[in-house]
Amino acid sequence: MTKTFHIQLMSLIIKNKKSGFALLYAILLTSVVLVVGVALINIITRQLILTSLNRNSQIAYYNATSVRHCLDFYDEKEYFIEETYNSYGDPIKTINPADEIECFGRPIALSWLPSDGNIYKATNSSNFETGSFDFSYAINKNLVDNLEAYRTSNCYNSDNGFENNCMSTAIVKGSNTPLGDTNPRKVTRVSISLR
Amino acid sequence: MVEALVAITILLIAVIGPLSLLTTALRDSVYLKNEITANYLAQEGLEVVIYLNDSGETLNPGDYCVDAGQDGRAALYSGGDCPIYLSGDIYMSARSPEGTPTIFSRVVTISPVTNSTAGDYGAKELKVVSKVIWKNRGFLNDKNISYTTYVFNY
Repeated sequence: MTKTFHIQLMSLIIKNKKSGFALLYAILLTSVVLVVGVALINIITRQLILTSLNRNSQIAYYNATSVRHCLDFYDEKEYFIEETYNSYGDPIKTINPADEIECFGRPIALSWLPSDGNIYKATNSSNFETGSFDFSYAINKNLVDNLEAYRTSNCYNSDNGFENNCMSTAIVKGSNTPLGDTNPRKVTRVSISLR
Repeated sequence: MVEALVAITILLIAVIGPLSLLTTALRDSVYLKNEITANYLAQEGLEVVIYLNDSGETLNPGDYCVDAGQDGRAALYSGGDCPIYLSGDIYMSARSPEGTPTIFSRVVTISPVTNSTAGDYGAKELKVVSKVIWKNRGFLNDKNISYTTYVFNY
């Protein structure tokens, strides 16, 4: 009687030991699929962020480029320069700081900083339809006066700074967000023109 | 029997979630690939217009397709939806459809901007928008991306 009971008990234990594998396999399989899914989502999320950064970067770049095109136009047309005559009656060029220029069909006010020796510098920060921009435009009075050196070439090769060696410089920062925005996805690109 | 039922239930609940994640990930990866391509195509559209402007060509307002061929030609032309073709690994315009049609199309829109100062100098300011539209497979809507810049044409 006791022996039979023992045999029955042992077979039950063995049976119980074999049971539960389906559940284990199910959990294992689920875990593997879950890990792969989460890893893929993680990668894709990073790719989405990188792609949006690329897009924002292009927006910021073209904002900067648009403003630089505008400054280049006024610079090339010598909008800030007027021709007068010196005491000998010879024509000379002097700087005539204008209050504003017109870009994108709207006026852009120019804040001329106090003349630092020969450098006349104007700045402006404004919002734009797809973000904002911030520029600094400088004219070197020395080079404007000196017609021989007017629009000196390769001014960017000098070590003394662009503004001291170029007739004019335009440094434009473009951003994909409005001014003062603290969005962590804010991207700023710079476009520079040296003449 | 009960174990099997429990296992099947867990599988159904727990596997469907991750599988839907996988499906989303795969769909997004296709979307990302297309968006990156569209990004560069839109950028190329603007760069062609800037190049033509810097070359002294007269730009007139309107909708244009862009031919940015690899053999030195770069031009704008009028032509409907402006589909893009793929020849090898190079994207071509419909003007030179040497490859297979793609899901992308690109239109560059040039519009005038009121700028009296530019007018005084015999120039005109133009707004340039390069827009790329692409058709996604399945239930995803058509997507588009556009970049804008301004140029002075004189």
